[in-house]
Amino acid sequence: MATGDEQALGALYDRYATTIHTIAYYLLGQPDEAEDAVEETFWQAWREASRYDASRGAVSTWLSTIGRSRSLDRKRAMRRRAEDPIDTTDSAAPASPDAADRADSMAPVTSPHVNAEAAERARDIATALSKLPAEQREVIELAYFGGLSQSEIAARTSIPLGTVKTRARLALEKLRAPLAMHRETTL
Amino acid sequence: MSEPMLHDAARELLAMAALDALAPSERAALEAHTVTCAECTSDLTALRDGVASLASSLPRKPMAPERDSLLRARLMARAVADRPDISPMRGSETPSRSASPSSGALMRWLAAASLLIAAGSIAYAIDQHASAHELAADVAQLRDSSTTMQTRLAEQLAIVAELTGPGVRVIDAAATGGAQPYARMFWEQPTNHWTFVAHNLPAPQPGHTYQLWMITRDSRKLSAGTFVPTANGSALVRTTYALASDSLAAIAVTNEPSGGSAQPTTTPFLVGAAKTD
Repeated sequence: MATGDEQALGALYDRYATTIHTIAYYLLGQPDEAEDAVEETFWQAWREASRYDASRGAVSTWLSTIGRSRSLDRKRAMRRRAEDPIDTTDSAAPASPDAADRADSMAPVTSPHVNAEAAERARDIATALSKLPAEQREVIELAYFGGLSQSEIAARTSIPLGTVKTRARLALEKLRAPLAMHRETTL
Repeated sequence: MSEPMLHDAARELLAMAALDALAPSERAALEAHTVTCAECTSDLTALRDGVASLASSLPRKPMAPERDSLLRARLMARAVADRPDISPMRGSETPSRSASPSSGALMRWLAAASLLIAAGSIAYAIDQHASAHELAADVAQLRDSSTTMQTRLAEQLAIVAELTGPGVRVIDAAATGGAQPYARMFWEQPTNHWTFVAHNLPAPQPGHTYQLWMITRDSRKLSAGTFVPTANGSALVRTTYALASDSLAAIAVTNEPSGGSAQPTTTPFLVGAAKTD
């Protein structure tokens, strides 16, 4: 793709569009906004393909990072437009799936294309999330699913900013273990 | 100018950076630090892996197939239009100067000549620079136009594919109260894409809209959406709905209050029976 081969962009899209749309949809809650975020993500990947460094992570991580960043840009813009009070349960966003339910919610009715490996991976991550101490899970969910900044999380939870940072780091380190078992090596 | 971020302060921010939860100023300071800090770069990469894995815990949410195809086609069209196949114009080369110092007069003459050449070169370069800018603007405009046209073309091709595919069934609908309005429904059965095209429709009454219905053989009336025709009486409605191939009895269009109705409230003025294959 870095050489300007648009067929490579097509292949990347075919493989990861659903993953990026999933991230965008759960952050934005609106199909049109989510689709725009997907388009922006793949367009940015196309334009910045030469900057991708395989030694710094898998393609899926690179693309997910872009997708989440573009989605958050949109979410924050939506929030500014609506002058919406910070609320992760606002009507614009679908309710963040409860951690304990996530593994079960990978049901065939909503994920007909998910394969066994992906389902197993999802279960492991969901299990890891559900095992996090409640205060760490709260920070992760507010940041990841709610799209809040660290300052907004501190204000919302009334805990010091330093504690927010510490809890986030501890949580992410615990979540890395299940990922390592299923790390993608392709692309 | 702000102070460079210290290593310990940077490390504290890495988890939140991986979660994209930093303020822009914090993010910029951290990025500046990671340029020279391999340890933080490595740590941030690992933490981003953890964040990326969270997406796996979400129930997968694929796009509707029709919209997915359109988005893919639009991206491909943009990528094709983005090919760097027009090289930017290069400036003129500076004329080389060489002279053998044979005499003072010759040197003065050469110096004067050099000044003239230099002045001419500057004027030429300015002119070329302005031309290059204009050309770049023209190219950018052409690329925008090309992208727009290719996007439209991709959408049109998607519609054509839905109208001409091997699994397409066609249901004609004619006016019941007059001869003028007519419509045609294309049902691409393999993908369950429905495309309804109508012409010569009068404008609905104020506060009303038209509503398209799919009527099944067991008399269910399924709304396929509301629409208002264009000024020349044409309308295009596209929807996706899974329906068993033998269950459609007819399509119909009714006049409904704005926003549509759960069930038809008026007699259809356009009706088309679905023929069985």
